[in-house]
This record gives sequence, structure tokens and C-alpha cells, in this order.
Amino acid sequence: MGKVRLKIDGKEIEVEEGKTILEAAKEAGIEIPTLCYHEKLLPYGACRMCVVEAGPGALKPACATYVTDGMEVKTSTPEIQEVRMTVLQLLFGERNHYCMYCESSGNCELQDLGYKFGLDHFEFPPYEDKYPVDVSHPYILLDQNRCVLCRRCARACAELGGHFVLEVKNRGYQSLINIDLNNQFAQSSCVSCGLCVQVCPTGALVDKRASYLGRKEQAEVIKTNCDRCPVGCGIEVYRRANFILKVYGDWDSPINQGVLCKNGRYLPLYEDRPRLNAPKLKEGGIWTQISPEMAFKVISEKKGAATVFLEGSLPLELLQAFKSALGDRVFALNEVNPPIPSTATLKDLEDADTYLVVGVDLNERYGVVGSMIKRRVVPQNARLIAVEAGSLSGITDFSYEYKDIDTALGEARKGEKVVAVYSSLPEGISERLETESGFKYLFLPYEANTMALKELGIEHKVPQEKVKIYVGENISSARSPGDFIVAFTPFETPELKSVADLLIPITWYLEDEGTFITLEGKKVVRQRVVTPAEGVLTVEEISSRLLKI
Amino acid sequence: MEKVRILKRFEPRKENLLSLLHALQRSNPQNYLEEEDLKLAANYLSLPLSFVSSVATFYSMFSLKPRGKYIIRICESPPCHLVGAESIIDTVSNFLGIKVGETTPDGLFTLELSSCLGVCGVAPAMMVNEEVYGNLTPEKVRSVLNDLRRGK
Repeated sequence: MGKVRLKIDGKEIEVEEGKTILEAAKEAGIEIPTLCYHEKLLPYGACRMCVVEAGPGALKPACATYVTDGMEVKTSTPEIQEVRMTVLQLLFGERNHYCMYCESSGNCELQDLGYKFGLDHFEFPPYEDKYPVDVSHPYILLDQNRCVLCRRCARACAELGGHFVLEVKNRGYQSLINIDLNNQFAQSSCVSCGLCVQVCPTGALVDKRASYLGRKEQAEVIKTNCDRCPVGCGIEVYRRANFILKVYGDWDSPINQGVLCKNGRYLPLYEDRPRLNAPKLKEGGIWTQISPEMAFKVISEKKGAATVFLEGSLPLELLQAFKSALGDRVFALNEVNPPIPSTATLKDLEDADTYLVVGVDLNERYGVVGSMIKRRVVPQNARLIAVEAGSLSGITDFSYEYKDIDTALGEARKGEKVVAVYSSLPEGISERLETESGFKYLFLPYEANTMALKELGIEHKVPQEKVKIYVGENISSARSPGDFIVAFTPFETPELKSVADLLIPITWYLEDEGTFITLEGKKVVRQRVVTPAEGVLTVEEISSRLLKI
Repeated sequence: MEKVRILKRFEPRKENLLSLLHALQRSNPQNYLEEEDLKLAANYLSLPLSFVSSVATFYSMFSLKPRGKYIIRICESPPCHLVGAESIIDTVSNFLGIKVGETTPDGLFTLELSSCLGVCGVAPAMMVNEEVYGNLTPEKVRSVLNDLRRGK
């Protein structure tokens, strides 16, 4: 690409062709105020805060005007500042921007601009119409009264999330954020990825749980990786004291580039299973709290007969600890091996023309992979062939059942760059799928750290032994007479207590540092963000105690 | 089904959305788009519901609620405004007993406003369905509406 020479505020600069004035100014260290603009979204030019003088005629929006050779740009003449001031006054004049009652006060781009321009009064009589508020979503609140119609939410929902749930309806001052066909959030096709909240510059879309619990300035923002599935998205965790306020997608992460799913953003923060806070032993049907020493003494006595079953949700370090302590009697609780090994990476999803999604509902389980596919399929840049793909079948004309696998494969073969995406496959289907020579294969591992189990050579086995040690967060077990069942687990559910004999509390989610191997085979680290409750054994404690048994 | 026949007159391409919505609206005796129409259009053209809904609510020629047999659109652009469009609006509103955006209870008339109808030479002007009326005075408007009411 060629270079373009231009002048911004008298400063000679050279930038690559195809950049906007805003990007060029940024490179030159010149700041232009923006509101509807968002780095990760396509230019939109709705708010006119970024207007600049660039040649004859009307002022131009810097975010949506591309540089040309010899262009002379002025970014802050008195005339420009006056126009921006008027725009800002108009924005404040419409709808409810009384900051003191707003959750986003102190963390609001509109308010920031108000301070920046020294707004000390309402130039226009403030608007008194009432606009709807939608509280029907479990995690998100939409208050149209706080909306400045920048459309960031709708653009993010479509361009990044690929969900196309949000749009704007009506026109002019009657414009409102619209959900599907004029629905409430609760009855909509929203998949709760939360992108809209993350990009909203004002208090129109807010996180219900984090509301009024603290502003960004009062929180520490910790960058780490999500451990809810093997995609391994980058996340930003907002922590205040020892409490997680909210989780945002990390715009800088090479994996997800800011996009998250319901599992990564909301579900762990709404976890309500009772936590186990001390080892407990059942004797004669009665549970008694015991010390960690006692607990490991019991394990040590049973060691000779015990078989360990590890969940794939655990960090590599914990898997390793059990493996080195109990060697060949360590197995995976769930399936480990892919039906067909991966030959593709997430990068291959960016330019495929055909996606063949088989047997997995990406909206439910691997939301970010779903976004990568949906944002290309819905605007008709690629085709989706869905075979038993749950809610994903709603966005394609090519939706099949397993019995029509041959028709589906025939349809997929019409593509030039085909990526097959799957997790577990029923018998017969993987054999049909794996013989395709032109396809790339993207296996979505069953659990967050299935790849680590694989790397450690831990195989799956159905538990049948008398003495079983389970490790994980979703343990269920049958029980026969004479069994002795141990569970290392963060949760003491009634179901588990009815079958187990010994429970040992372990850390969960962001309570412990740990390594995860993503579906692409990359090692990512989940950091410790909060300190676990007293009595919960960390990975390190368990590892050192296991060494001694 | 009649609606499916209307869909089939168009190729399933995104560009046909506006014409398709117009055709569906015309086929409705009450001159409006039902929720079902938007769903049909979205499905037929493989477009997100939110997008179709956004288009249908943006353009003032589409309505999502039932309208009358005759849709009166009075021009409110400056040339008409300067020669008394406002009194024409008041006349129609009083004569029919409805406000702008409303429909008479007998389902005969809907009153809407419109941007320039392109007949500034005969301002003030209004359009009733496809017919344009110019050089309007309150008397002329009343007689036009009386004629329509009597089915002339």
C-alpha cells in the first residue's frame, strides 16, 4: 500500500493510504474528541463530535473521512470547537443525562466530553419525554433514556458478535434501540454475550450485577485468560476488594479480540452452588468437618486401591500433581480424544467460504467460535452448513439432521475453503466426515483443559473401581455397596453428598493460577484474581500434600 | 397462500427488501405491515429480523399499525408551510376528528404528514393514496374529503 502525505494542524505527516483522518491524527499524537467511534468497529459518523476542517465545504467527520495526498487538516479552530460544543449541548439536551442518578457516572464517555468542553449548563431545555426501560434481561439493563444513539451496541452485536439482535428502529428523535422485532430482551434471540454493554459509552446499557458496586477507577483491572472452555479468550477482570465486579473481553487478545460469550462473561459470576470450605468425612451417615491432614491421611490409607478420575476443567498443574502422585491409576473422567484430529486453527475461520458445523450448538458452548462464524455467515460472506447444530440452524438455509449427512457433505463440497467444526460426534458420522480430502478440521475439545489431559497422556476410562477419587466441579457418581468415594471439588451439592464419603475443597475459576492448553495447543495462564476462602486448598497445597502420601 | 405468491415475485436478494415490503403492505386491506410480514421477508431474504424491523420502521411510507382505506399525506415542507399548510392540517384534523398519525374509527382515513411532494408550484398540496391535490384551501379540502367519504 502506498503512502499519503498530509498536514494536520500544520504538522507534516506521512501515513498509509486507506487510513482515516482520525487514525492519522492519532499517529501524529493529535487528539480528536470522539463518541460514536470505536476502534474495533467500522466508521459510522453518527455523532459529529470528531468534525475537522479538511478542504473546502462542510466540516468532515474525522472518523469516517479517509486521508488523501496533500490534504490539509485543521482539528481545533474556534469554529470547529463551537460546532462540537453545539453537538454536545444537543446530545445533553435530548433524553435523560442527569449524571448523578446514573450508574455510569464517573465512567461515561458523554460525561467525560462534558467536562472536557467545560459544559456548565444545559443550553437547550432538557427533554422530558420518557423512553422505555427494559429490565427483562437476566444480566443486562437497557435504559433508552440514557441512549445517545451512537449505535455502538448494534454495530458490535452485528460486526463482532455476529448475532444481529440489536438494531435501531424509527428515525430522528424517536429512534430507539430495537431488539429483534420490537421485543423485550427476555423474549429475544439475544445470546447474552454482553458486547453491547462493553461498548456502550453511556449508562444506556449496564451490567445489572456490577451496577453501583464501584467504578472503573475504584477497581483494579486484571488481564488474564478465561478458563470456561478451550478457546482460552483474553479477559479483563474488574476486581474491587476481593470481589469480581465484572468480566470484559480483552480487546488486545489475539484469540477473541474483545468478544466473549455468556459462559465467559456472566455464568461464573452467577454461580450459586454451595461452596465447600473444609474437608468433610462421612461416617455412619454423618458428615464431620476434618482437617486437611486427616483428609490426606484417609487418602494415603486408600492409596493402594484408589483410582483417580480427573475432569478436564482443571489446571495443568493440578492434573500433573495427581499424575505424578498416582501414576498409571489416573484417568480422565470424560472423553479426551478427538473424533477427527484438528488441522485448522481459529485463523482459518477468518477466510473460509463454507462452515460445516456438526453436532454442536456454538451459541451455547463455544460462543466466541460461534461469533467468528456468524459474523461472516449472516452478512452472506460465507455459507453455513449446520448438521444438528442447535440454535445455529436458525441462521442458515442449509440445516440437516444426522441422517442427511451425505446431502450436507455434498452441499459443503461446493465450497472452496471448507472448515468442519465439531466436538463429539456420534458413531458413523465421524467416519463419513473424516474422508473428505478438501476440508480443514477444527475440533472443539470437550472441556477447557482436555488438551492438557491429552498432553499428559491421561486417557478416559469409565469408573468401575471400588475406591474412586474424583477431581472436578461437575462430579456425579453411581454408588454400589462397599464403594469409597472421594471428591476434590469446589461445590458440595446434595447429589454429591449423597454418594461421596470424603469431600476436599479445591479452588475454582479465578481463585488460583493455572495453565490451560487451548484448542489451538497454546498455553495460556489463568491468574489468581481473588483469594479463596479460608479452608479451600489451593493447587499448590494439594500438590505438596499429594507428594507426601 | 397469497403472501408466499407475493414473495416469489422477487428474487431472494437483499436489495429487494424495500419493494418486497411495499408489495406486502399493498396486499393488506388495512395498508400496513403485520409482524408476520416482517418475519416472512426476513426469512425469504435471509436477513436478520432486527434489520428488517429497522428498515420497516425507518421509512415513513411503511406502517406497523392498521391504517385507513385512504391515506392522506399533507406536505409539511417549507414552500407548503409558507402558504398555509398548517391550516390545511388543522382543517383535515378537525373535519375527520383525528390527530396526525391516527385513523378514523370507520377505517376510512389516516392522516399523515409528508416531506416535499414535488409539486411546489401548486402549494399547499396533499396526496391521498396515489392522487395529488394542489392549491388547497380549507373549503377545497373539505369537498375532497366529502367526495371520498361518499365513495366518489
